[in-house]
Amino acid sequence: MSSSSGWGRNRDESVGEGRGHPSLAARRRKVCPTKQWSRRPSAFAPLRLPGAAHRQRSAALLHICGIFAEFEDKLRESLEMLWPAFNELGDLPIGVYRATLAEVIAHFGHGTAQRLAITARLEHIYELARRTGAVQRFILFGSYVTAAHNPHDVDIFLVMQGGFQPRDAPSEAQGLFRHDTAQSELGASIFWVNAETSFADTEDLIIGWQTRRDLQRRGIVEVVEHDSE
Amino acid sequence: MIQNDVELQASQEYVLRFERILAAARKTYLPEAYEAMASSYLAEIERVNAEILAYLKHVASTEAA
Repeated sequence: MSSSSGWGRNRDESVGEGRGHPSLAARRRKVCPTKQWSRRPSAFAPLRLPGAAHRQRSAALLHICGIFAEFEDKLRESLEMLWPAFNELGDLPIGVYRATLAEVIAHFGHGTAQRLAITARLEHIYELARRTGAVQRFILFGSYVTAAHNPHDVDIFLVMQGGFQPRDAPSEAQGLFRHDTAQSELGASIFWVNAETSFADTEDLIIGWQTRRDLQRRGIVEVVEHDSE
Repeated sequence: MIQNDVELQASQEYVLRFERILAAARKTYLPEAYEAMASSYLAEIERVNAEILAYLKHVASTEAA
């Protein structure tokens, strides 16, 4: 397991002072498509509409513009809520942040070649886990979900359905559930339980993944299938 | 490596949490599933215990100073 907080074996993971978020910055720019279109008179000039129709069209454009602006505000708010800034230690603030894999990759999957490589592993592992049809929770912790530029690997906690056994999984996915294979072949530290482990113990483990070596807490990420989960 | 007593405490709690999970799981999981499930936790317990032992080998004199 690797972690910028010191649990990990790799002690030289560099933690930046906060990676930039160009995509979010780009989204922050207020853009109203209808306003842009209205700056191009040639697109509308041939339409010589009578006064009432012209006013109707203007009202419709204003309405559409309002919808775009409202949508953009909501999108920005949801992105900011989903991914708060890293704290001074390079960690997410305390909490379990639920996000789709696409959202996780958009936020954590870029910056350095190491991050790109680990992200490719994560995508592969997620697909293998999905093929088991038995994953209840897929949680990411450790240095991948911090501001570390070069996380050593990806740390994953899987909660599987009750009675799940690795032999029930498709053969290509069985390596997920054996420590040595997961490390050597998939480049990941994977911990798992099935629902035979009590809810309280599972929650205790999830709290444990949020606890740094200095006993401070940090945020971790749960990958969900859909935004609504 | 463990640098101070706070990290020592965190490491001990970390190991204890895994031991507690395994102690319960060995009674409820099917043998084959338990063996696979336990492999990650046991490896982690082994690694962190080695760090705890390494820390405890030395007296606290430099820490107090």
